[in-house]
Amino acid sequence: MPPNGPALHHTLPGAAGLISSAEGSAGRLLVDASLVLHHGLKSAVGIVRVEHYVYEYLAREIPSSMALDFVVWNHTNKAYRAVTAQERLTLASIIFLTEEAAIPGYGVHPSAIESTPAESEVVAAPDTLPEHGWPRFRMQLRLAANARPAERDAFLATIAVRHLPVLPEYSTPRRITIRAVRVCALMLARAAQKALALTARTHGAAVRLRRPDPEPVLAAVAEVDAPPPPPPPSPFRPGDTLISLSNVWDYMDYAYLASLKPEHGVRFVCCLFDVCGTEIPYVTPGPTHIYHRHWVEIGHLAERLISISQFSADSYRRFISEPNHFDVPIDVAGLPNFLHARATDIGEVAVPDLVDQDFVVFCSTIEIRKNHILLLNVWEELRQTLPEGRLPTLVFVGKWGWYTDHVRMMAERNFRLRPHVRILTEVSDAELIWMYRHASFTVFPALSEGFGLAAAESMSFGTPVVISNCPALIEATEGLMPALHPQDFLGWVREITRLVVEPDALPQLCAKAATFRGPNYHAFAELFLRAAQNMTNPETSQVPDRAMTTNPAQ
Amino acid sequence: MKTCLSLASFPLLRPRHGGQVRASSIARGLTEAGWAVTTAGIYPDSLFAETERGLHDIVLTDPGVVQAINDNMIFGDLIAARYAAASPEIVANLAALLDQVRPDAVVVEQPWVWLPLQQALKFAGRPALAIIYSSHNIEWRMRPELYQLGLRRAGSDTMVRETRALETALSQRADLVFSISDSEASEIAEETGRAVIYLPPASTLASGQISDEGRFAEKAREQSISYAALIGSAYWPNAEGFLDLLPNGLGLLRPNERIWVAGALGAALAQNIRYRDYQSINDSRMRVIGQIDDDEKAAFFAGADCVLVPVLTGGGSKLKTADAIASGRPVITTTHGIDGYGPIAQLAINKGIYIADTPRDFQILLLRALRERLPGCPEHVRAMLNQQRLTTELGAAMAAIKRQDATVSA
Repeated sequence: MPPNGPALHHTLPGAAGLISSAEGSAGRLLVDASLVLHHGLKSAVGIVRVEHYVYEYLAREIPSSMALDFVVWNHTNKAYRAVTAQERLTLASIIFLTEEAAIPGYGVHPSAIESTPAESEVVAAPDTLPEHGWPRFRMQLRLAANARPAERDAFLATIAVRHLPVLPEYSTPRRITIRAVRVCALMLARAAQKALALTARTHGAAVRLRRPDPEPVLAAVAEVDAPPPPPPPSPFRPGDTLISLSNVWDYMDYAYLASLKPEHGVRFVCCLFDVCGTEIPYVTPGPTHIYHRHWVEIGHLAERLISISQFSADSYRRFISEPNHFDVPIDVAGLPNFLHARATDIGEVAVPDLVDQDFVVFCSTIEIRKNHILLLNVWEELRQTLPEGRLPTLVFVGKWGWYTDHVRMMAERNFRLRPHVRILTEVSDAELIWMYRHASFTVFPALSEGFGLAAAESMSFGTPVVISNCPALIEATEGLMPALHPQDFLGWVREITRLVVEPDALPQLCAKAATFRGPNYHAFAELFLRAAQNMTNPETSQVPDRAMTTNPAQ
Repeated sequence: MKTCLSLASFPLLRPRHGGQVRASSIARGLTEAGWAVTTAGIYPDSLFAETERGLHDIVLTDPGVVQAINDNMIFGDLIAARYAAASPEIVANLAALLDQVRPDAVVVEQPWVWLPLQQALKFAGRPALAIIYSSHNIEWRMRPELYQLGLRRAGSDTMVRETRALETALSQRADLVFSISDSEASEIAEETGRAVIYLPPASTLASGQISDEGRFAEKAREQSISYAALIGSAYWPNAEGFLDLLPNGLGLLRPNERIWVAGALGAALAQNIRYRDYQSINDSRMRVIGQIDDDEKAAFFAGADCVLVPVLTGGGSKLKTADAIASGRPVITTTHGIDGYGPIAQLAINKGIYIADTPRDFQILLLRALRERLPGCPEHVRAMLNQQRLTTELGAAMAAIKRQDATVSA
């Protein structure tokens, strides 16, 4: 485990623990939870994992003098609104209970989130779960009764891996026993939940607890002619700090964001993942100018940016802030290895297709910037040149993203290469851990990268990775791994061949990987809290007034 | 009363582009100086609507010449003038006009119409009239700049040489030569060995009071924004200059800062691929105002924190520079933007006129103007661009011709 790893077996705090009362507190942190509510923890990209980690940290570490709450983007009013009680409970479940939660169909994309649901119709729950006693138990019963099957199963699975882990060091009989206990417990829990749901409906409780319809199309049609609902009250008050880790460009009204400080006294702190789209303008799924505007606007509006790598911070200055004559403070901390930190909880699950095989993993969304095409070309070359039986299987782990036609064509039509390639789009964390532990090595040939979490994660499990020479990847792997130009086809062929054929090459690289330390687990999340604390307490603030620092003549 | 014929390669009924405005300004100056002025244009019918045509205009309707002009846009004026000079019918019409107006002087606006005028003078009854050449540009030099738009044709270089020969011949033949630019006046004088009068442009904004009232200022206050004003046509150097000087888009502007663009330039910019590379941020920071009436121009500039003249290449009369200086607002421009305004601009460098020739310097000046409220051009500099001054100088120059004629007559 990396140094300062998290205390993962914390008490489940529930909604009451998640949201501390803002009354009388020195300052509030309001976090944009729009995308987490939309995606749960399942997204084509890894950003929601970062959100989850930061929120969990903030909820756990926020001092008593401050308060944490969430806001959601309201498309109708083009403004943030407070989360409803139901959404708050859902966030609590995502962040603390169901770390593996896939909640299909729950979320409503921020661009489709309508005005605040009528509380009387939709949410009968109080703002927070009662702390103790019968009221709390009754509320938990209602929530359990109201869970969808997928949510229920995801919740139970998480509880199972947390409390009944199946670890590699266990003996085979012990592992079989634990799995049997898990299955029995799951069956019992399902039956209990059904009975509970039936009882709750009989008493009308579950109806009142029904969550907002994720696809309120019919309701929206019926309300076309109705007058627009009054805008919900602003969730902000002077002194608040708004934190955004989301890529908000799909829905944000930047004029509104600009108004938050002058009109509401709200300070804004924003995460900076990368500016690859402006560095290489053809790699973004939409027109690059959309993302470019986001990066520019956050530079104008944020008190601080928190960058996931020095490279992203440097790129931001080079491509965004310097050409536009502004200077925003940027704090930097590498992303921690979430997976390794939670590995004991998650356990590991073998991927049957890969058991007893030599394989090489590339874990990343499949999109043009990640450069999967290079690997397919390299593997095709190796297929033709390596001795029979020496070519390891190339495993792509990740969801399909954008501009992937060429990769699909290469992967599907080349029937001679096909047996040597696996594309796994639905991989659990337990399976990924197994792959990291059992892969010969991993690869990461991205054209550019904000950090390259998968490269660092691979090394956290002691598995070496061959990377492209993008500075962020070198940074993430602490300069320990071979770095090749992402277009150097022959260089990649030579390096992969060396690792596959030369007996000493891979062990030597593994020895280097074993010296990998990884970022401090809390460092990145801590930057958000520290930024908010500094701004809340001007006397100790290290954050200069942005308006005073932006001197175009400098 | 002396009579004058103002002859141009465009109509003067409703002046829109810079050349028309300049010619119209001179015609007005002559009128105010006591001359009876008749205007006439010789141009193809495809370029100007019927509603813009004047009573004495001679319109070329031959589809062949219209096609030839369309095929070789940058030499359209020369092609039309050659055609007119070779057409007995047009020459006869022009000679008839000369006989009808019986001018004491003909002001040749730009060199082109000198070709048919030369022919017409052979038939007209007033061969002794004075020829005044009003130069708007050194035309032969600006044509090759337009090659980069893909407008170079076989024979283009020959036409450049012919244009130069035409300008030289007219300059040498004319009884009086005006130039809109001080630097070009010197150049023409050096090339032709004769005196050339620098007659800077006039702006209708020069004599008005500067007021931050009006709909533009109100709108800016209502939106709590400050804006830089820019007026321009869709003429390509206007768009290219803007994009060359702001190559990374308009993200340098804070959310409460804007550039408001009037004239056809705004639409031209919005369609340019270099603008679209940064479309989201550009759309959020730039507002396309569209065409505005002359009487609104003052209000448009008055509501602004500065006026931009972002030109790096291209000829033209650069009347937008005159308007910018005359507006009284700080002018952010380039060395090229004030080229031709030497004696005027020198009085206001860094005191109303701010020069930057690199993108970075230009951007910094723009931000300073929006955030620090730079001073605008002082009153005495504005006054150098008013119509009264042009009228006085024009009248004096024309009077000198009269005395010269009298001497000759005596």
